Amino acid sequence: MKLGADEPPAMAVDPGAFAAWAGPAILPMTRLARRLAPHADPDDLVQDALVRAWQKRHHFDPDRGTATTWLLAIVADRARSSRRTRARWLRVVDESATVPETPVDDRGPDVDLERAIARLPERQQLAVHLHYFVGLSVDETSAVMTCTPGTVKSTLFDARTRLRALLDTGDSHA
Amino acid sequence: MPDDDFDGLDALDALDALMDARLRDAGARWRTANTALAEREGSRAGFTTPTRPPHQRRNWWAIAAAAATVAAVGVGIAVFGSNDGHQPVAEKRPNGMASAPTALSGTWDLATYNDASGQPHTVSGNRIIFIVGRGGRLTATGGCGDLTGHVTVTDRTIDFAGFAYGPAQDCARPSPGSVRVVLYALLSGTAQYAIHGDTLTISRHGYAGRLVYKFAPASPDGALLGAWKLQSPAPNGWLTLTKHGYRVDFRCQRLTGSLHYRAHGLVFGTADVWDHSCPHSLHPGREARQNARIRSVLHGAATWSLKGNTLTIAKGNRRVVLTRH
Repeated sequence: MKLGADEPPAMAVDPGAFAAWAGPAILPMTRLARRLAPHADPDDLVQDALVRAWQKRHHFDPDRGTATTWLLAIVADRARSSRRTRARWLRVVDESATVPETPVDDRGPDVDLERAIARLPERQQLAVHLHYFVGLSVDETSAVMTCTPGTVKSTLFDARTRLRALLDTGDSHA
Repeated sequence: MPDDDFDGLDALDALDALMDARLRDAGARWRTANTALAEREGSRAGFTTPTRPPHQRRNWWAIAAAAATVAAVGVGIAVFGSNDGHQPVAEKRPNGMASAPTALSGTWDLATYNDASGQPHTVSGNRIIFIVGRGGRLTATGGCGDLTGHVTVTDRTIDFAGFAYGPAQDCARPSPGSVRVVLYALLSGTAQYAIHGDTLTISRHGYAGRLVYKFAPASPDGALLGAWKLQSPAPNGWLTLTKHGYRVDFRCQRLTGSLHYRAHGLVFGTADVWDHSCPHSLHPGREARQNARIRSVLHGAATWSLKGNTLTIAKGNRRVVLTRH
């Protein structure tokens, strides 16, 4: 996947330029929002991330990644907050409630895989979502996760190993 | 990875490749099956969803611009640099959007104040400062402890509604005429401010107390700027000091925040924290505890000393030692 242009020449002062700069990232941002926070409206999450990005735009460093990877990192952060807020809210409403990490769609052909992914540690889930479902390369995934490509490969390997174990034992339904 | 590539791989590699292929397949099918995404992908030029009714369609260009506009207005203080002249001048934006003045940005030293009965006092001893940073972030000192939080600034007023007071457990009960009474009284609700030359006055209608600050130009010591390697309490990463901010690159975390330079001290703004994965060789719990010890020093007001290429930043009896990187 080829990501968008990086330089934000005028966005520092012009919301219109910011919109143009962020535009190419909207699709991968929406995809990631759907994967990471299926309980939330992905459009709202993307909008929330864009507001955050505007507020933090002076922190963007083109030497550390593209605009899209920076924006995806913000989506991941907002999704994490959204999940935690929802988890707290559910605990208040119903102590026995469980928080589904991924949409429960039994009609899907690979629901076992989805359930197994939901049981991965957070970092492994993020790597899997970014690489396999959003469609980022390893290098782009590493930029979003602010780590080295080698760490991403290692994280993905660990995730696949864990997924195999979960799927082999049928533990993904637990 | 196609199946015919399995020749020469051991069983583990083959199983891993199978799982890789299954995930790739699931990802591709998910992207295709998700009709809303597919529709959007087909209309990227305008970022609209054609099958939605018109009143539900989202124009992402407009939303991104609106998000930026709302955020800028919501923050309430312009973040586009400082006004060296320190006259309260509203900035002009390309789209005509109203904005807050940047005249407040910077560091202010309390010079005089009027107490609650209107009696004037001069200030001596410890500096009592008032710092407005980017994004409306405010740091103030009241003689004992730091006050930090966000404020909303208009051309004439400062709204402290979102302002969080710092711990004041070390403070003795203030006397009625003390500056702390005035400071706390004014730094709640909405106060008026006026800037004349290098003088900032904060007051409130119906209250006799007022605070008069003098602008303190930022004067970062050139010797401090640049990258420093953390040595103690743990060699966990690097601290980078710039003219207006700082960044700490731990091995599993990055912190960024504003930084203000004082005559013999530094004021670290509240950090934005970015977590990233730890190398497998690290113990996350121990790493987090070490980072927390360092962060407790690099927060709020701290003193510094420089000997040779060793920089020591201290807060109370806690200290962080760094060497020039």
